[in-house]
Parts: sequence; C-alpha cells; structure tokens
Amino acid sequence: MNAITVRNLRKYYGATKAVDGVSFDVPQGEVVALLGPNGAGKTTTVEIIEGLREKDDGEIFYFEKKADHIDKTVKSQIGVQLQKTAFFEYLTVYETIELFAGLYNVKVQKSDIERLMNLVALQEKAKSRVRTLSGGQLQRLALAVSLVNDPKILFLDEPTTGLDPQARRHVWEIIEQLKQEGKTILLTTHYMEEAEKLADRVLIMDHGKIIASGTVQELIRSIDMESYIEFTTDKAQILQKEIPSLRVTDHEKLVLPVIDVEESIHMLLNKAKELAISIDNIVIRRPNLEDVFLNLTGRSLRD
Amino acid sequence: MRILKLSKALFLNDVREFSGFFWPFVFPLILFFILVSVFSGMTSTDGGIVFRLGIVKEENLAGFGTILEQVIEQIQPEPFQVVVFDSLEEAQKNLQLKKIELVLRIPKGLSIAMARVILFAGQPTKIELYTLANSYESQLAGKILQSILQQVDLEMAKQVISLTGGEYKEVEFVAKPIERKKTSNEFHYATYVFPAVLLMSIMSLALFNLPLGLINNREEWVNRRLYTTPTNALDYLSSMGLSLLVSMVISCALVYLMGLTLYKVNNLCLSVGFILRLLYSIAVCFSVGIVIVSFCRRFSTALVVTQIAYQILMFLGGFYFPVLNFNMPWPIKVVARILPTTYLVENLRISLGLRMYSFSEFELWLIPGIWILASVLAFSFNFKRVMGYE
Repeated sequence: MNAITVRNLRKYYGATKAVDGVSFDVPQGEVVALLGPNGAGKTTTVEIIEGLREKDDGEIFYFEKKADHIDKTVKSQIGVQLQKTAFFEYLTVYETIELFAGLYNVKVQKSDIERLMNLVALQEKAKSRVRTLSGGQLQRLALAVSLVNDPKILFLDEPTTGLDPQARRHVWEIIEQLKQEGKTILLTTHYMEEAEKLADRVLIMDHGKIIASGTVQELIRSIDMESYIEFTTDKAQILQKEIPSLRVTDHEKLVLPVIDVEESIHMLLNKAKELAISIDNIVIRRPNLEDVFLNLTGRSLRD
Repeated sequence: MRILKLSKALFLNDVREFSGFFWPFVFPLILFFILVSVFSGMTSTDGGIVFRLGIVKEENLAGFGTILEQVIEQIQPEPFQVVVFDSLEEAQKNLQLKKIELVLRIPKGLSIAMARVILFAGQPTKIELYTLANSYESQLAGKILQSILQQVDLEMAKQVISLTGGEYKEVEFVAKPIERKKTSNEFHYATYVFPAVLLMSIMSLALFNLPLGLINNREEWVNRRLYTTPTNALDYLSSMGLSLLVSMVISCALVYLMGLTLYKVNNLCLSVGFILRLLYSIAVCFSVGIVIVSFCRRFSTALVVTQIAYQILMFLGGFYFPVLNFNMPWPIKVVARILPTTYLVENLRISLGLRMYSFSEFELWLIPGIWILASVLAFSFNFKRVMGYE
C-alpha cells in the first residue's frame, strides 16, 4: 500500500515552473529520498503535500485516499521537519515538545517527552532554552517535535543541511532507527551520500521534474558505467578537448566514466604523456548518485 | 485547548525576553511615577514664577489713576499674567476654582480718590485684594503684589511731598482671603494621567508585540512550523490575541495597583463603565496593530511605522496634555480629531469625572468604532499574506 501517491503535481510562480507535473509513490514503511540540487523544486513539492502551499494542479493521495485539501485529519497523521528549524526561542526543549504535543491534542506524560528527548539525545538539554541550542541540537529537537504525534508518515526536508559531519551522522542514526520502527519517510536532500545511506528508493528531481527514480543500485546501473577515474591536472581544458567524455566536478577534479578500467588508464596516461600534461591524485571508484545526476543533467548536484 | 496551549507558549516566550517583560510591565509604572512626580507638583504651583492675576475694573482709570494702570502693565508678563473680569463674582469664582491665584478689585471712583489723596491729603484709597485661603501660591501672589504697590506708594509719596510739601496717605490694601470651592471634578493630575498610562501600556502591546510578533514569526518560519500541525492561521491569531490580552490585563492591573495605592486615583476607575471603556480601548488598539501588519511586509518597515504611529497616537491623542485646547496649527488639530486615541482617552477621563474636550457621547464611541471596522476590513484582505499562509 502506498502511504503517499502524487499525480501530475504542478505549481507555477509566474513563468517559473517550480513543480512541473511531478508523479511518484511512497510505499508504506519505506524511506524515499527526493534528491536534487538547490532550487530543483523538492521543498515546494513536499510543502504542497504537507499542506503548507496550495497546488495549481494535480492529485495527492494519503493511504490511497484522495486529499483535495490537507486538513487537520491528514495533519494529525504526519510529522514534519522543515528545512529551516524555527521554534519559540525562550521556551525550553521540554516545553517545546510539550507544546507541540498540545497542538496535536495529544496527551503526553512526562515519560513520553523524556523518551523522545532520549531518542534524539537531548535529555541533558531538557531545561535549556531553544535559543541556546547548537544547529545540530536544533535539528534533533525538530526531529523530536516531528515525532510527538507518533506519525505514520514523516517528512524530513534537508534534515542535515548546515550540520558538521558528526552531527550529520547522529541525525542519520536517528533516521535509521525510525526506519527500523517502520515509519514511512519522505526525505528531501541534496546530499547524495545521505540518499545513498538512508533511502530505499530515490527520486531525482531537477527543474521541477522527476528525471529518474528507482533504488540506488537501479539508478547507478542505469548509467552503464563500471567505474570512474578521478584525477587532477593543471591543463584540464587541453585534456578535455582530446577526451570529450571527461567532466569537471565541483572540486575541480576531472572525472572519466569508464567500462574497462585498465584500457582507459592506459589511454589516459598515453594522452597525458603525448601532450606533456602531468596527472596527479588518480582515484578509481565505483559510480554513485552524483554520477547519475551528472550523467542525466550534465551538472553536478552542488551546481 | 490548542489555542490555550499556544497562548501560554506565546506568553512565556514574550515575557522571558527582557524587552517583552520591561515594556509592558515595568515601563508604564516608571512613566506613571515620572509623570506624577514631575507634573502634579507643577500644577500646584504652576511653575512658581507666573501668577495669574484677575483684575476687576469698575471704572476706567484716568488722571492719577493711570499711575496704577502703568504699574499693572509693568508687572506683565512676569510675575503676573493678567486676566480682566467684568464682575467680581466671576473673578472670585475663577479664584475658587484655582484658575487664578489672585483678584485685584479696582473700585469705582479710584481715580478721583487718588487725586484727592495726592492733592488734598484726603482719606486713604482702598484697593481690595482677594486671595485663596490655605493656598500658598495665592498668599504669596498677594504679598508680592502688595509689596509692588507699596513701592508705588513710596514713589507717589515722594512726588506729593516734593510737589505740595503735604502729607501722603498710603493706599490701604484690604486683603480678603476666600475659601476654595470644592468641585466634583476637581483636577487631580494622577487621575488625569491614569487613563493615558493604561492606554499607553495597552498600545505598547497591541502596536508592538502584535504586528512585530506576527511579522517576525512569519519571517523566521515559526508560524509555518505551527501550520504543519493541525493548527491553522485563525488558531494562531487567536492564540496571539489571547496571550497579548493576558499581558494587557497584567499590565493594567499593575498600573491600577500603583494608581490606587500610591496616587489615590479616583475610585471610579473600578466602575463597570470605566472597565467597559478600557475593554473597548483594547479592541481599538488591537485594530490599529492589525492595520500596521496589513500594510508592512518587512519587520524593519513595521518597526519604523509602529514607532511613528505610537508617538503620534500618544502625543496627538492628548495622553499627556489636551492638544485640542492649545493654539496648534490646524493640520495637527485635524490629525488629532481623526485619531482613535483622542476619543479613547477622553472617554476614559470622562468616566473618571474629567472632561477636556466637548465631544458628544456619539463621537466618543463612533470614531474609534470606525477604526475597528476599517482595520478588520484591511486585515481580512491581507489575511493570508500576513499570517504566512500562502
């Protein structure tokens, strides 16, 4: 059974097509990642589904039931973590969780709030005011708040943006735990590592459209490349003219998609010798979602 | 239930911030203290420099009598401000109401009597001075005027002696202290300023916390976060209104406590009529707040507009002095006549037995009512944008 079904969703702002005919399903109990660069239309899509924005066209179904308007009944079944965490700054962590439980008309005991704080490792911050929390702690509080009504579906919009690697891993651990508990999660992210690590299925979105979807392995297989050779050079432009399939990443590395690694390495080194170009930091790696996106759009996810 | 919980959170969030606690709860008390300390003292002495002298001229002075007229001209504008009355009764009435400090009666036949004194050493002339019994400033004014006129006497005596070598008999001052008339609407500065302080504290919440809170929460996505729950924009607005109402009640209660215990403000402030007018004022102030938020998209713009509106509504609204009774340029008077606060503060004062203007009862309720209607209309057109609901 699909927890969420979206059909032909559209949202235009004047000439800008923020969401342009998006259709997808989120099966119950799965984690689905909406992956795409900033401005791809991910947040607009999920905010329409959450009821924060009005759609211009399209249909939304919650548990196979059409939701023309995202009303209080739907909202009481979902938990939302917004891209930007915003709470009342002078309330404590405990009071914030208690408040949101009240907004869902959920009767919570002290032990329920403590359980949520333990889950997101904020038990020591129970009496701290929100304004004193770090970025990572705020994100974890946002996660706790999104779980206060024990939702069937969880929307997590860029849950780790702006966090340091340690804080990011911590949030990932919590999401994995929620996944094990059987929650349906729709996650939007522009971090391919996040999608690869957490998602059962990935929807790649660009310019308001879903341009590819499937499991991580399906998407990677779809580009028909065995490996990627990454390296750096001081004369990238000259080399790119000689080898048209070479691409530049956002880290100013050159990437060469290959099927036969050995043959390609020979070809690359011979070419470099011929043109008197030095090549450094050669790395051979398996393809990832970044490569899928690059292959589909010609741009990096971080562009 | 949802609204109550959200109201509680909004209230706590506001009062835990220093400015959220200081402006609605502490500042009105400080302002009340300063105003009463400074201005109630000044009304009892009226500056202590200029006395208002009422003169009743029963004849036009001529001949030697013009000497007195010249003296009266020289004592103006300081230390005396002269007000001429047609009758002694009218002057005495003004003295009893403390509108003047002193009455000088120039009796009929004074000019001839003075000529007789100077030329023929006749009977001494009588000038009556009326002062207010038990009024320090009135007694002081009387003594100052007497000493001035005695100097005139000395000069006249010198002239008489040099002219005729005769004897000069001094003017006889008959000082007649009269009892002050007690009136039901006797001016009491603390009572006068009490409605203004109450309105000021209400306005600080309605004009600052309401629009700035709504805009800040919209810009910071706090309301968006709330809308992800079953809370809608109307729940949120109601909660904010309720939380501000609680703050207003606490703020007013503190002002009441100070006014009744420390400054003995008229007990009529506890009457149903006064409290109803206060509730009406709260509704009007809320409406001004929602007008600001309807037209200001950004926090910084709203802050500037609110500050300007706040000052205009306070000062031109006649909170601290009756603007319309002063000789102000007509555009200022027009603005003052349009402002709802002009009518709100006057309405509150009337229920305390003070009347500054001659507005009809109809005007006192109608003009603020028009503000409420217009504001609700403007707000309803901008509701979705203001509340951050796309």
